Amino acid sequence: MIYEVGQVETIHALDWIMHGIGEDGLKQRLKGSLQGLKVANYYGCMYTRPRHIFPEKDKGPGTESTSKPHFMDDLLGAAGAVNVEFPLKTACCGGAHTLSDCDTSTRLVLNILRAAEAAGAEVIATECPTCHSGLEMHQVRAEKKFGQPTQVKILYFTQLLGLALGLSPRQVGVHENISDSLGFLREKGIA
Amino acid sequence: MRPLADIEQRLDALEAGGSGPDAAVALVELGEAVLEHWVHARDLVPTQETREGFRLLALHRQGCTDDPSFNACRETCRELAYHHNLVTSDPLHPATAQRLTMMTLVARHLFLFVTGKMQVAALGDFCCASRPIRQQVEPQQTG
Repeated sequence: MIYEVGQVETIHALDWIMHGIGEDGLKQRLKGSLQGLKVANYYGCMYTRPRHIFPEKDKGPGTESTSKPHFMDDLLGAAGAVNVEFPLKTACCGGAHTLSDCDTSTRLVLNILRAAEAAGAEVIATECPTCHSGLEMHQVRAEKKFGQPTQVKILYFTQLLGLALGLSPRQVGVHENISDSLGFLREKGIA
Repeated sequence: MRPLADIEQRLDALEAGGSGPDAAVALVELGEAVLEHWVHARDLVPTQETREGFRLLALHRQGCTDDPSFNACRETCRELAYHHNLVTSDPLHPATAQRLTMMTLVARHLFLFVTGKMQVAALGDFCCASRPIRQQVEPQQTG
């Protein structure tokens, strides 16, 4: 296949799974369940911005919202998760400051982690690689630098969906994460 | 303008013991004070207008002028307004304390986002990026 400019559509994995499989399709394929896992869905600032490049969004029921995104909530909810109310779901993770002002990044992440815990979440589900690595790294740094530990686990949404679809923690790469979620997932009966 | 350090201290105080509609109003005012710094640092006069009933939202819109990346805190501002409405419209609701907790975290996020962005842009009154000092020094360097 030859790449031709303008002939390739770039879409987010979240949109692809939602439009290609959907909640009902996902339910039919489930081999396990996230069985009541309390999840704060964190989309970060890039998934819905800039709004004008997403003409397909904000078209009412069934479409994604740029102000209150919900596709990840919908898919993980279909897999059995309980989505908590999380007001910082599209807030900045501080990724842009990591090199220039690492402390600000850590404080932004710490604030997200604390908000997720205050909302009752056991897990933060991510859908942006930069946000994901930032949340994991700065969770460690927040404890070391500011003496502020948090317990909430951070997992990529595809890792959670994979577990619900019957894949093993190793197959979804839980061991590749910075934080260690394996014991927690086993305790919850998800892994 | 209210100094940034003062805003942060007030956030700490509200996190430690804020309660009721007064705290919700105070948190929105702190959000406005943070946005005033951003607008002022970009040589604009902070607006007194409101948008959807909130000066906070009007200031955010003003802050986006020629800088679409500032939209990254759009929903943070809207969540602050939303929680303000939740708390003030039904202060006796059993979830009011929880809502104020979340609201304080949202307000702190706005503070961290804006101050971090100002620092990266070398705007504002930070010790290592003071604009007046920079303005005095730069002509000598370039001259």
